[in-house]
Amino acid sequence: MLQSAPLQSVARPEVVTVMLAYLAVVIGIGVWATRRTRTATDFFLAGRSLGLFPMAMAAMSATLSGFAFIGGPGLVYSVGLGAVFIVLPLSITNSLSAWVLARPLQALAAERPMLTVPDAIGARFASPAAQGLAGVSIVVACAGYVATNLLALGLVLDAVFGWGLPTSILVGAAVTVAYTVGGGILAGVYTDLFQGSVMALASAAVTVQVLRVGGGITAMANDLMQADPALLAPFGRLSPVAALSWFLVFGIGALGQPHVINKFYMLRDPARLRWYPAVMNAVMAVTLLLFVGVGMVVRALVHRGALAPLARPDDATATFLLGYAPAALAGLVFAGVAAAIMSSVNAFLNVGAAAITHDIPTWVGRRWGSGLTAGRVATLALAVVATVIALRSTVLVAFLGIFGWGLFASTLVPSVAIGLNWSGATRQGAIASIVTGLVVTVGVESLAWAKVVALPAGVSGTALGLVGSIAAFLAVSWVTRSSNDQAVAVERA
Amino acid sequence: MSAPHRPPAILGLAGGVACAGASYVASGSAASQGLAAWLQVGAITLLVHATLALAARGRAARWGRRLTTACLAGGFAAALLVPAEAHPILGVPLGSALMMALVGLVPLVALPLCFAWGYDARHPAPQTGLQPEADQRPNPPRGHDAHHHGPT
Repeated sequence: MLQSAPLQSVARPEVVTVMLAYLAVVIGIGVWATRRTRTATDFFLAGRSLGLFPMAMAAMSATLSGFAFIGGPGLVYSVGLGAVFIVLPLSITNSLSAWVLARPLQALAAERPMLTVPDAIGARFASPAAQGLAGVSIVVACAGYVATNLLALGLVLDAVFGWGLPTSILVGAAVTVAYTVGGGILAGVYTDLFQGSVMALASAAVTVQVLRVGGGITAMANDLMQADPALLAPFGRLSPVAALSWFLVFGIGALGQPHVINKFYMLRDPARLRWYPAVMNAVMAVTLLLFVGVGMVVRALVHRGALAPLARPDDATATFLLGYAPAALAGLVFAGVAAAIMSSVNAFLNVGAAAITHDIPTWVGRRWGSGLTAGRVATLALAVVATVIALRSTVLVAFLGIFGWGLFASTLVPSVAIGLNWSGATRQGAIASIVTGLVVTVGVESLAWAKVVALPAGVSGTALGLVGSIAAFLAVSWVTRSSNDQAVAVERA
Repeated sequence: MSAPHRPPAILGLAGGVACAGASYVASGSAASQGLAAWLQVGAITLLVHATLALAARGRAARWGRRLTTACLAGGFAAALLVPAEAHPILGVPLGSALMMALVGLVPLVALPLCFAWGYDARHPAPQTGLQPEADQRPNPPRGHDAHHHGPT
């Protein structure tokens, strides 16, 4: 759901100035973090040294992409409240992941060195194959996700600087890859802290402007009801099944996002976890106000005749900012968009490189040389592949982009969210669920993308893959329970 | 302390998966869209409730679980059942307002408080069913899947 078509130009001196200042700070943090990165643990897990707030901001920045600022408001403009079902699950997912994932992952990390989320799967099921398969699914998902994000970043930079798309993709990739290769996740976390602050600040400021221009919630709601009552119906212009299916996929699927849940390894002191859901909910709620507010106010302004109907819904944010906000605020928001995309790219490159250098070699019984050097080489290789894909083929980017989030969800949720909490889970169940998620998600999404099969409204390959992988996990674990020699209860202090 | 087996939670997960599957089948027919939506609500509620039942323990977690289930079921039911012409709140139709409040606002505020209330960092570990000796072993031969070894 990321940006894949050109954006409206926002090339104003103030916007360019704010964006240049933003990029300079990101580069500065990258240089600082590179000097502090000395080991693979620094590179992949920020030295397990994070406080609560940096960890929460890093998790938020990794969760949100540019979609929250561009595509999301456009979707609200198009389908009304139905679009909210993408972000509504956030009301439960942060608490759910703290209960379901944080404690088991921290317990594992306390007992043995843990570098990646597939590490937890491998340790839980005593299965390098399960760890390696999870690593394969992560690499497949990351390649597409990074390429999609780099294209989106190029479109944003092109809208601000007018460099042309290829140059914009190369510049965006160069800056992001430089700090990711140099400083790994340590650079990522501290840029995330800065980037998350930019995103939250931009969203809060825009929301104030939305309420001022729109005349308050009631006035905007009245306009929308007059324009089209379906916009404010509970499911907007979507069918109930389509909206609810989004809730299911984004609510449960959040438990399988490795670039977010690996942040639980990075926390310095488990006692600080107590307020993780509260901090996450607060910063995410503020940051996502823009998602809902801009789409609503633009639709209300169109109804009032103050704006012409948008040619493309994705122009909602730029149209509002250029017409109704100070230019510096527009700069801050576009810096926020770039921040959201760059932090996601950083997180994906990091987990992808860890899968390449650690999880897959563990499966095949090989080791790479230095963990840090291997991590940097793998990060660079993954970034080069993704950049070439983004430069060469928007069709291929669109195709690969459909796998990212859903593939994480369908392949990792059963083994991690259920498997770490249920002694009856078996190694065979874990492997079956990962394979099912991989095959169903890639297969069905590919067939639907090629228009070979037509899925009913609201049904996606991701949803089928997620449901299928959980079913496979439960069924195979039940069938193989008698041979489950490793999941027997372990007495622990 | 042993790893939990928790058959009711697993049955809940199985029920949620069955509801989701049935919902996707029903959504293929225009005549059964309503049924598909209710099955989807059942799937969401069961899967979230059962996942929490599997992992979260203690009094605060129980309250959190009950609250989540009630909010999800109540909010989605309001969205599906409250007539569009019902009295609006802040200009927003009542069904939409109830859904946003119950599914969005209440869990957003209450669940983190439940988590913080029941959190005790001194008690480690929900059990993971971990092999205690697994990471002490050398690397397995290529393709071997019997034992896990620690990170490189």
